[in-house]
Amino acid sequence: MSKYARIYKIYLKMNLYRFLIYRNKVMMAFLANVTYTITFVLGVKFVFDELGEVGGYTAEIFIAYMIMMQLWWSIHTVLVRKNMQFLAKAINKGQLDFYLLKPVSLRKSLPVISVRFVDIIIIIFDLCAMVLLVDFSQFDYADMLLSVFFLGVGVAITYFFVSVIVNMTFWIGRNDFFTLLIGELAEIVQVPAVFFPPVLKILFTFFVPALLFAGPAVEALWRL
Amino acid sequence: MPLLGSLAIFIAYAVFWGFIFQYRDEVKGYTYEHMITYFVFVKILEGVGNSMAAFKMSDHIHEGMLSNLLIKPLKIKAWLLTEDLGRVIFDGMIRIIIFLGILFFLFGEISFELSGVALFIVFVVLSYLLSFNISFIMACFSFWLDPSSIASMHFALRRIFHFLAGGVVPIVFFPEFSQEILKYLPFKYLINTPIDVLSGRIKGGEIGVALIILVVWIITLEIATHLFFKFSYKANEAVGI
Repeated sequence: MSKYARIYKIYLKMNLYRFLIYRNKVMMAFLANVTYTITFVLGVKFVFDELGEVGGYTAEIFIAYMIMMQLWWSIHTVLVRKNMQFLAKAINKGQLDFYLLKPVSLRKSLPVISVRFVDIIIIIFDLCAMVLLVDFSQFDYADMLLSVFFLGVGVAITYFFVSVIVNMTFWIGRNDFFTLLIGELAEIVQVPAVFFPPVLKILFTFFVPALLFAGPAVEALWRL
Repeated sequence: MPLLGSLAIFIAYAVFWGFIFQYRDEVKGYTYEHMITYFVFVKILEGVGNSMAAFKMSDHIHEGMLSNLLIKPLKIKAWLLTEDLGRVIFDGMIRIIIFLGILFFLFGEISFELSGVALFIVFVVLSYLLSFNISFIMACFSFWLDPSSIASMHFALRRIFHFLAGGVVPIVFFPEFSQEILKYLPFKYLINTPIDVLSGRIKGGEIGVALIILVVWIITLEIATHLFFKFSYKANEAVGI
């Protein structure tokens, strides 16, 4: 166990230095995320000012859903996406042996190989946005814990889903398209499950589980 | 991939508005058909108006290739414009085929007045020039910033412009005072106004005023890009960064 702790520490340190060297890049990436959040919050507010409540969703719940989606996206980028892309690239370039020959499990070291610290800052920003825009006094601790648990489950589902796709690289060669597809799925499910027609709801729940990424975490808070 | 992204966002919008129009016939003067048509054209214009000049210029500067372009018998801005135009026309055609195909599949017909279509094309050409000039100003920052910072800046500013252009929700949903301010800014002429012209939501004198404002902005940005390039070029190191 201490062997892996040391490896994790080294990888994290390496990624932290990379983050500190490219400060401009980090600031710009952060700015891009802030503008995204501001524009969607305003967009949702303008629409819900006109509509009031839709399908049990008020502006506050809808904004919470979208921020939760962003949280899921950032957490999955830190823990899943970047590392899975790294693995797929290693397979494509014929470099997998290099990692397999090392006296550590690739699967265990994968989560920290390519951690982007800018995403950790974005996670903190998203959490702050959530605290500022949502009235948390209406929830009890059990609901909040359940929400965090469901968000974790959402990330775990993504991990297994992306793992299956990346493992297909062994047979079908370059499949960057499929890993990028996860990003497009996130765009589709920026609207909560209740808005989807039944056929799409079944498709995005049981076959491509995109509606489970962040939806249950919000539903747990408001008991929707 | 940008096309697939546009398609994904379009599906999200169609799902959202489809649900809302199950319970209402009209929202802010838009019926379901109007709203879907609006977002179909948002996605078409998104491709046409999304100039990539900033990325191209950034690549040229960082690879030290800018000098190579400067000695050609064509101004760098004209070079980037022709290069970008080729991409935009191709991207635009694919988007027109796909998104109008979706519109036809959903409603069984596509009908617009001929005069509206002609004016729409005029607005699209002018809004592309506006978008290109904005992108060229961003491109000039490449003398100081690395390509990934330029990409993030491009994404952040585009996101704001897209929102102010009515790409997320039609401008009519914005509060009254911001609608008044947006009339005099260039953004709404990138997306909202061309679609309003096509669908006949604005007519006659209003179109004339919109055209004048658009042309004034293009001329202003032409001058601004010229001056800013002259200023920022002083930071060029010719060997790349």
